[in-house]
Amino acid sequence: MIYLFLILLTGIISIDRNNALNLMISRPIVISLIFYLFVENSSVIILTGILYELYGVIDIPVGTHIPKDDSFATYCSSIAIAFGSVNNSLNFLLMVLLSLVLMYFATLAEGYTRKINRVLYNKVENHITFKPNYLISLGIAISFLKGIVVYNLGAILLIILLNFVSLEADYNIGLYACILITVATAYFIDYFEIFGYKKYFFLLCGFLIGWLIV
Amino acid sequence: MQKKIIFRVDDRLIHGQVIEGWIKYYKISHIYIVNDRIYGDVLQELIYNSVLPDYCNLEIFNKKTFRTFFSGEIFDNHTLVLFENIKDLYDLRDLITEKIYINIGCVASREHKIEITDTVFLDLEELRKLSELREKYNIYIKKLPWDTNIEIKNFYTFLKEMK
Amino acid sequence: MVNSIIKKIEKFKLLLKSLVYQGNWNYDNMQGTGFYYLLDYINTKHKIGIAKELLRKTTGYFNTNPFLITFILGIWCKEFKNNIDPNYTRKIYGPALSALGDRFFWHTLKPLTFVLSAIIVFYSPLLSLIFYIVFFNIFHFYFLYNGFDIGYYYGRNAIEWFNKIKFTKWNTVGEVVILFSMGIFLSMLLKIEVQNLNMSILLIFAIVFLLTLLIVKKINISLALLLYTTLLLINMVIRVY
Repeated sequence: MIYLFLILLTGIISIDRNNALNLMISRPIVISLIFYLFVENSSVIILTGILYELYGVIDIPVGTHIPKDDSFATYCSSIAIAFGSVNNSLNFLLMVLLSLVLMYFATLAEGYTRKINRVLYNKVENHITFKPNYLISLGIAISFLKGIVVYNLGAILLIILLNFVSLEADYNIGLYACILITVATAYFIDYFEIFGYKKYFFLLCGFLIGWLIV
Repeated sequence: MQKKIIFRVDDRLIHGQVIEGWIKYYKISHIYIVNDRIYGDVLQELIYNSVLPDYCNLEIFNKKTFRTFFSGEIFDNHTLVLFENIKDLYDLRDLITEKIYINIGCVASREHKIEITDTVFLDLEELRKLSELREKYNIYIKKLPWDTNIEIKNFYTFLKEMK
Repeated sequence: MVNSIIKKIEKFKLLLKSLVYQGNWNYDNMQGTGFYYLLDYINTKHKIGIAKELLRKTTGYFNTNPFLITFILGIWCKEFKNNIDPNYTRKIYGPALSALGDRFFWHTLKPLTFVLSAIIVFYSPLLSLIFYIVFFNIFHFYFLYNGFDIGYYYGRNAIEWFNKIKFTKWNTVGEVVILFSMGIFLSMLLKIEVQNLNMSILLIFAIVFLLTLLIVKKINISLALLLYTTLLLINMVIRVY
């Protein structure tokens, strides 16, 4: 049952991200929370989701630009964590490293689906009975299948690679995740337009207030 | 980027890539649209002004007024000059200097055009004009500032093949 | 409030259809197929009387922000009704609304929703998940549901509506809230997730943050993360052996 759920989830994530819905089911933090609530109750999954959300939220889908597939990285990492392939800090860092590399290919795959859509469109564009419903349904189906194949292949590959490396290390994943989140935060802050030092002032105010209330 | 003036050919003029990409990345404060059709169109001027961030000033010129206005001197801040098509850029080629970064963004697919990249489609006349410009200046195809430059190189060879 | 020219149920159907209109997104006509699909629906339901040839022309190159597509449909129909070339107006409004929509939905709302739900996650992951989906989609559905009516009412002057609601100002306010909330989130994250947090560990985080700020314009985030991860891995392997 859980496998069926995961397969369906990958298809829906791919559609939501690229072709339809835009309900934000494909956002890394949402994927990680779904995993946390329904698959494996591990806070590392949420930290991974936050890391990839920070990574991907600044890469926005403007015009023809295809943003880096942060959903793919989150899905693969969450699967690896849920299936027990990440059991120490070393595996965690390796997981981040590998999923960043694999993400490149997942992003490339989206470019190909757009090219397939174009071929389909060019085939029927001059037909008298032009049926947009047909093209749209086909495009969504292709995206759904792409999600299932690419995401799950990526997850399997990641698990195989992680299981291949079996080194002993400490279990201080939270610390390392926080370091990487700090790196991503610097990029996140730079992304905002409020000029000069103002943005650091707001960040610092929030930090101090947060420090006091926790 | 060393060059502070950017000439960009983009048939959508001001859109998401320009605002979220170029304007934000280089903190561009002056934008000039050079287009005979839009010049004097109050509604379009209002629309483009309404979508820009507060710190951006927009001015719309036709080719003639832009030629008078633009001296090619270095501006204090980054400046973006938008052209709708290759022809407009070509017509103002005498304004181009080495200090200007020339960039092709999006020139959409239309019938009987040749695909240069997935977002740039040109007809033979546009290719010829671009090749001529390319002989003197570096021209790149680039959707967003952080993308890799796609250099335009072999159009003359390509044009010969077409003949 | 703008009066509706289509029934509520049909507005809802249009909303649902607009959720899938990008299905055939491609490098040739981009969202052109989807625009035709939505316009064909309106034409059939309301007998606007758009000729087939004109309707077919709408499959041509077109792209806008998906959250504001119904505005352009409304504007198109109004221009058609007023015997003005609707495809010309679409050509102007497509990129303009793409700029507005990208700035609000992608640049501001998405990070805002993330930061707020990242704070909530420390209290309740379930609440955080619900918050993310609901908060973002309130704006998403509001604009899609009402877009057609507003676009139709204002026609080619639809930009006035965006100016009236001070749409571009939402970004400035949003950014301040994001930055402030991000500060809260960071302090919560460190206090909760880092064991034995002390001043020296805090200093290390500050140094990492400042060092990264120095390189943000030089290298992209993927390379930076790869670099830091590799350095941490090397350090760990050295320590283990």
